[in-house]
Amino acid sequence: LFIRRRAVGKGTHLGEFEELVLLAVAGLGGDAHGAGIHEQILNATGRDVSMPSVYVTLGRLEKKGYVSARVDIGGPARGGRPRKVFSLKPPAVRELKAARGARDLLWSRLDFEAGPAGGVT
Amino acid sequence: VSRRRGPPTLAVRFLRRFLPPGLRDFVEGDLLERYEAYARTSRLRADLWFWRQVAAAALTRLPGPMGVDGAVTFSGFGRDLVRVLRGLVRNPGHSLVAILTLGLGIGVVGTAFTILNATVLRGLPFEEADRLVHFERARPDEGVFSLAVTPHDYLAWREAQSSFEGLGAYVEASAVLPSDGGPPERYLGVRISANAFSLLRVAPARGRGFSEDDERLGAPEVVVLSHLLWQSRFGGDPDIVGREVRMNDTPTTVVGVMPEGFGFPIAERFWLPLRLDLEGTLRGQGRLDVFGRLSDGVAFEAAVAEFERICRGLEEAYPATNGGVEASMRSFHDEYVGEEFTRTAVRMLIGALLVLFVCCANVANLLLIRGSRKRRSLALRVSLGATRARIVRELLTEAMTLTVLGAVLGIGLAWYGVAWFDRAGAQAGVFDLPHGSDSLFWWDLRLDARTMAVVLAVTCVTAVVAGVVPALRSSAAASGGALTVRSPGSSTGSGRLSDGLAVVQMALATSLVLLAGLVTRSGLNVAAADDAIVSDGAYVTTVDVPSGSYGDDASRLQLAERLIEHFAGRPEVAEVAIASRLPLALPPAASLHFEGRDGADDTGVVSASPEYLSAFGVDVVDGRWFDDRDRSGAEPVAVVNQSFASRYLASGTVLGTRFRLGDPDGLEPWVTVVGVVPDLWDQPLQPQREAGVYLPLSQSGMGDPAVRLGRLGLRYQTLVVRVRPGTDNTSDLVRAGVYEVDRALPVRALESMNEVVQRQMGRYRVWGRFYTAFALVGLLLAAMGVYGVLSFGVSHRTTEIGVRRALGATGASVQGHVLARAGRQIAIGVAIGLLAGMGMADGLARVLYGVDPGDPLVLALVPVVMVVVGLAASWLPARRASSVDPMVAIQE
Repeated sequence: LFIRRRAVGKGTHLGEFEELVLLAVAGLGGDAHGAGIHEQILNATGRDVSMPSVYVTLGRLEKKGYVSARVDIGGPARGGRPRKVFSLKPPAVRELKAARGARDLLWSRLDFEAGPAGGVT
Repeated sequence: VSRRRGPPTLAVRFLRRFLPPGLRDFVEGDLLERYEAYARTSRLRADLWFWRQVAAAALTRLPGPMGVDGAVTFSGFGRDLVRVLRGLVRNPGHSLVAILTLGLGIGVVGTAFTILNATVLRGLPFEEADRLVHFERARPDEGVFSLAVTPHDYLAWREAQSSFEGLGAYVEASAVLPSDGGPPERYLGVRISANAFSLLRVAPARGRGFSEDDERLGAPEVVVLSHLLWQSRFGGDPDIVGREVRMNDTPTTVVGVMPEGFGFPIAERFWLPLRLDLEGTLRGQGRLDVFGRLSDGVAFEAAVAEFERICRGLEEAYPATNGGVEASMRSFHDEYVGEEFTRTAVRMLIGALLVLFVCCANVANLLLIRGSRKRRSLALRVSLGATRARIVRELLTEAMTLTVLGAVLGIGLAWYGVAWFDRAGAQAGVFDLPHGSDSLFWWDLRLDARTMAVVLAVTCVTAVVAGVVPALRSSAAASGGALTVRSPGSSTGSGRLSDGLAVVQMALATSLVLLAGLVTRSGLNVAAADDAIVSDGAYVTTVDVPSGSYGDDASRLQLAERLIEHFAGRPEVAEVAIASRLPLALPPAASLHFEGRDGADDTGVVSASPEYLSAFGVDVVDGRWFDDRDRSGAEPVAVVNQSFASRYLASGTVLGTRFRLGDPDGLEPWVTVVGVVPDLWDQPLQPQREAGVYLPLSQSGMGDPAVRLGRLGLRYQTLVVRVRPGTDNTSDLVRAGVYEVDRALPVRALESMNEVVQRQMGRYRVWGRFYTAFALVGLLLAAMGVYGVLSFGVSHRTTEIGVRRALGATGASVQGHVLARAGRQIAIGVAIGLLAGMGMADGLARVLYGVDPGDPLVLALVPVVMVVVGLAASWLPARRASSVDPMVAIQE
């Protein structure tokens, strides 16, 4: 039971952090490297996430076929270290859209102005 | 200093270690980029941020290059370590308590061991120093075991013996050196035999040592300087060898300088050649310290036997002086360090080990608690195939990690503790060593390689002691199927174990608190004694009056009057007085006889000028103090202290009583008591007050010349100067003043009365603080221990408590149940601790000021404190027990 649920959870759907990372990559267009992603997430959510966890997630997304990576040269700001630049692959765009669609659908059923509908406090 | 740019170098180095090679450059680059953004607002914040990222890197399992998982491959120990570190970070409160506890324990042991090592174990810094032997003479038949060796015996021994490479001898000496444009200064050293340096196997760093020629009577005077004196007094003059200095008014040639750190035998500043005048000394007179180096292959026992033979021979040849005289031999080190101090240092280490043991018990308890919380996850891992050994290894790694972190903290604490002890011990009287020394030249209190090795070993043992029982228990519980069945009574084994620990901790803390209680009372007495002394603004120093220029009493008295006159004329000086002894020093004792009474009593005797009492701002209790009436030739008078009056005389009869010092039919005049003063400066600060007599300085020329010369002859005049508030540089003022009166008078270092009091109370204060710190640590640990044990019990018995609640027990009754259990442990612990503490208190008597080791007030208060602390520590677990939700507890 334990093992099967794991497969379901991580295999097809996006985790919350994965979604954040993907959105950050998308927002940065063709120039998404770790520092930029960190900054995007920080600005949007106020969360000062750890860089290693960003890379862990990117590694997973890469394995799932959602992002691709290439190596770019680095500038003086990073002490000449090379950059790993990520860009979105079509399945990711599809997945993000699907996730957003599901949310929009759920959101459309709510009307906060009229008061909570069932269970929202 | 150039400002660092970029994140901390150390952090970067750690970061690179934690990152897999394939990602290293990318992540590092990204972090550098972000670091710069943070650093624009605050560099400190940026640094902290960077360190956090490094920690995250250490705790995150990063994918390898191109998505290959697990590129950071830790195997075995490494994987355990990562898991443990994650656990510690997730559970910071618990981890912190454990680390602090272990750090405290290791720190205390580190401190105690460093002290023992530096003072007792390390020994003299000479080649084969354990073969150096110190000699005394003893007359066992008369119960006398510590007599100096006479020159005749020394030379006879030296001729006759064959067990030693040679015998050397020395005798204390002081030297007065003139200083440029100021009064001369006085230094302590020894006169030492020419063979001494070669016996010690130490060669002078510059120049030469002494030769046989130097020992001849009447040879030109030569001196070897210590490195310290060469540096401080002669500014490290490179041409010092061959230079002529005036020492004790004698032209003296410097022939050598000893290496840095050499101060044989105690802490000498110079060495003069020993010149024995056998014709001018009677057999049986004179005093020397003798030492020797055992020849290779000769056993100490053989040497003792040889000296028994030699002494018997001397006894037959000189029955008058050598009858019953034996040579008493012991290692040089033991002679100067002494059993008393060794015992103190060893006792300190034992105490420290006990504290560490309690710390281990506490941490073991914490680990047991954590183990019982992790029981289910451990059980899960066992059922998924983890071996028990694997689990034990991980749990031990956890203990090891905590201990290593604790050791880092502990070394810091030890460093601090040793520095504190070194500072405190610099005060005279703290160590109370034989030969009246305060410190020995080879003592060097610091953490060295040996201490570090011991701390490391202690750390390993600690980890095993603290970790092995919890690891075995938790793993046993895990493999015993904790996943399925959980019976309420299944935990009695570890329960009994931790109950036992709690009792032991309580007992130990009680005995420590008992000691601290005694020490605190003693501290209050010390403070009260301090308050009795009005010492602000008062300074004292001693002037050594040369017998050459001041040969008789009249001239010395005149000198005293000139000194008083000179200082009284200075605007900065409020009061000035002269006395025969330093205030608070042990006065010479004399026997005395009251007029019309048989038998002798005894008393300390000090002579003082009329200004002495007002210099300290004190009044007489009864009668009067000395004034101008008490001239030489007038009726001899005396003022006695309160102890004298209450011990020897009935109240109302004190004034007018007459007594005679010394022999009842001797040359001393009958003196009349004219006043009574408080017990203050006529004796050292000590709880047992002694009888004391003051005689007027101006009458010190009267009476028995033997008494005058030996006791009150004013060979040393103690100058008491009380300056007006706001006077700086009292030291210069006094030196310049004495210099103006007579340029040849050497002045010893000026001390404020506060320093004198401090010096006397140092032993009580330093050891008092030390034991108080020990007791506070013990109390804290015991409270934590009781808390830990009870929390463990409560968390362990959640189900049982839930059942009780479900069956109708109220919160209060559950709480009462837990508290009763705690109360039992506390009571047993306190009882054992009181008994043990009373046993230990006897060893403390030396540092207690006016407190009996069996002080009833302390004995009554300590159990109260312990019970209150113990119950306070049990309150939280008890409350947690009463709030157990029966439903949740039973479902679990």
